[in-house]
Amino acid sequence: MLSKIYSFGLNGLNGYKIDVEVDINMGLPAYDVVGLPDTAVKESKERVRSAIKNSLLKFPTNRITVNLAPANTKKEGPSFDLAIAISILSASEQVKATSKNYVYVGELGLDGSIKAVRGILPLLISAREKGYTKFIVPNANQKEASYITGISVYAMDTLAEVVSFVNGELNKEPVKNNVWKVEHSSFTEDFSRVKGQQAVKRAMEIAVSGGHNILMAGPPGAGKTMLARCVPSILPDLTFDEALEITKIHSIAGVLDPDKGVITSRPFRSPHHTATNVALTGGGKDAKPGEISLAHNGVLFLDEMPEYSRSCLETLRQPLEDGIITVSRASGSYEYPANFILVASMNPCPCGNYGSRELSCSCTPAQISKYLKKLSGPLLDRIDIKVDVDRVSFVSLRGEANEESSFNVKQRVDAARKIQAERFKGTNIYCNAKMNSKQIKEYCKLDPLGEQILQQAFDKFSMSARGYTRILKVARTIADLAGEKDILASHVAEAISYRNIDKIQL
Amino acid sequence: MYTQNDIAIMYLDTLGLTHKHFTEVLKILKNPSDIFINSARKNIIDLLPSGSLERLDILGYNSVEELVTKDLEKFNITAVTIASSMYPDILKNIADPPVVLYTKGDINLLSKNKIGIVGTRTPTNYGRDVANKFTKDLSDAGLVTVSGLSYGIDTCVAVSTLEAKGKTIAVLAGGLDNVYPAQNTELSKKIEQNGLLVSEYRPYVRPRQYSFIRRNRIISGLSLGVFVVEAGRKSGATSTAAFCLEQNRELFVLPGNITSPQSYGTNDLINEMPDCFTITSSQILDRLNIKPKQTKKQTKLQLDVFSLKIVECLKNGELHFDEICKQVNSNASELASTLTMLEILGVVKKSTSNFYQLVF
Repeated sequence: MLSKIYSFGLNGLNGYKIDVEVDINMGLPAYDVVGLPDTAVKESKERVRSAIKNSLLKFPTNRITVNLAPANTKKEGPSFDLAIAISILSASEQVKATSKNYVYVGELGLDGSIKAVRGILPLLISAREKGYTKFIVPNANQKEASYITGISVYAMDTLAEVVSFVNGELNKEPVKNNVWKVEHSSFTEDFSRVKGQQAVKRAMEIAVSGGHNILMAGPPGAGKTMLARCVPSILPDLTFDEALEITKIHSIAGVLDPDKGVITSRPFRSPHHTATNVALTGGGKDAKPGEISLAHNGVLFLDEMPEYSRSCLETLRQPLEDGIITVSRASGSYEYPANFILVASMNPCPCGNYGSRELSCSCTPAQISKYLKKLSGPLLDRIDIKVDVDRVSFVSLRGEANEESSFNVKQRVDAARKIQAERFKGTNIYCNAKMNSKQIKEYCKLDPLGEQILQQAFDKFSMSARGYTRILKVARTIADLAGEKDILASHVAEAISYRNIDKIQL
Repeated sequence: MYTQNDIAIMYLDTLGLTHKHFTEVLKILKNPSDIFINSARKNIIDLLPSGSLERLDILGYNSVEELVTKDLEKFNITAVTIASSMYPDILKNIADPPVVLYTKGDINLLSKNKIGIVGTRTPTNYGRDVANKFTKDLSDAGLVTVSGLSYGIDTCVAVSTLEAKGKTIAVLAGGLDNVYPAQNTELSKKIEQNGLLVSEYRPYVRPRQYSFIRRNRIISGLSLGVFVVEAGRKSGATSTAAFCLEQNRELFVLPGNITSPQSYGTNDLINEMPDCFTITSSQILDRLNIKPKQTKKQTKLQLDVFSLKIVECLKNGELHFDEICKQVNSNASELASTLTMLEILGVVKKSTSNFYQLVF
């Protein structure tokens, strides 16, 4: 007897349909899985056998051949268990032909329970695009699946439940659609709790408003990490499309919270400086997304940036430019989005006290220069804003001065983002930092006074040509924050002040 | 372009003689070029390494000339020997003048009036500011600055002289083909264009610990006087000061904070010799009998009220960004842009990190 059941597999973020064909023939009892299965798929045999038996159904004692078509794509993971089981039951006529109307995804336990799988969200979205509308998924993935409209998803707990459902013996409603809403979570860090540091806070506000990458330099204990942890509290709200993009990636990586099902706030990733290239960019056996993709639409925070390995930092260059990372492995080539704001911090020298007022630096000029050289020119070119952070004096730490709360800052950020969204409507970018040279020419026109100031600054501070576009982009964001249509001289002047570290004189 | 005398001295220089032997050789020979004449050189045979004179005969004059000048041409180096008319007279009267100066750049600077400016490799902001300001004043008055192309004050001197469109001489402790420290390679190229690099060593010679101290005698030897900006105790800069006194040059020393290690050496010098106490650049010009150039009339800047308020609160010394913010009661955005404007106008300067001060 022959049967065919549909399931879906994932290739990066894209799902592809798989036909699970089962043929039961007369002959000695045997069980073969063909169609490029990996170990997890081959092992499904034991899980499926026990699950069927423990669901009080009959496992055929004939010759069983399972084919996963198309046969030329590699099949990975345990998510085909359910489809294989149903296909076997269908071939042995234990479930009705109506079982063909559904797409099955799920891993089986020996007791017949259905367990959660990775990547339900991107999988269902791809399947919907291909015209499939009815799905049976693990109950544990219910939340995640509930955000996709236009399809009927049935969440099941056990194989027995599935069988009685497709046989029409059990009535079950599809999962109710969840309406996505922005979560205004309370952040642990808030700008109002950072005393002083006006210059840095302002720089962060600009960075987040325009999507600029930012690098903070300062001695240990200056509060760089705390400032960076405040960034999520001023990030603009997520839109549903952005949330889906993020959720897809997190779903594939298997780091999604099953109780939430969807990501509701912008990610803030802070990998440790011992992270490998693969951990950052993605890769490994099944080419999972790395930290930079998990930080998509959010913030990637690199604390003590020069401590990361040189090659790690250099791999960031292309994604910082394109917002995409292509991971190529033997199993295939996968493209993951990686559009993030880079927030980085560093000490001015290995001992951390270079330029300090209170403590003397014990590094030799050669050591300092070697330390600073870990950040290559091309990488620094992609960081629009560089700002110094100083230790805050005891007096201002104790001071009762009221600091502005993150909520207020966020309002300004939102307003500036809105202006940018309007400006870049119909293009593939959404913030000033991503402007190309043509767009810079169009949107960053300076008045004669601004032009003159920039010219003078060039001579005075011996800036590079690359510094020029950086200043223009930042000036555009500052003008947006001020709600100005044109870039004024004062905006240019402020932008120029975020250019240090480019040259440290020894 | 080199005379026979020059070639002879350069050949002797390759033999690695001590200075004592060298002067003795030159004393015995009527002309240095006599080493090419068999009859004239028998008195010096004992003073030279064995075989070095025979080698001259085997090679012949032309080959010797090629031997000693080949490297120099390759690196575009001009040698000025003690027998040359270009050799500065002022340098001849020190205890052990270098017999050959290997130079790169504008050789005419050797005959100009020069002032040595030296100091620590790890200056404070105070030291940097003073070095920059004095260098500018002195080179505006037409003096050529002399320094050692090291980190810190040396770099300040070279950079600010070039910024002031003046001329500078850098005396290196090693051969001219490998600049030490390597970070200043770029700067050395600029000096080549607008000044002069000097070394008493042939190219390829690596700097040694002792050669830094020996180099200091050339810095003071070339100069009418030496200005010590900041120096710790037992530092290179104090050794230059010692050479300066030994060579009868004028010594100028900047007083410093008594708690600052970078000023221990300079304060000690002032303590011993109150005469060298220097706090203005005109003191240096007066003592060297050099007329300062007519100072350009400074145009009074028109500043707006807000800028004046900032300038006012910086009058008591440098302040942190946050502090200025509080004192002038403004927001970070407005202050950052105004401070940058003032920086461009040359009124205010960012010292380190977020500290601002008035330009000295």
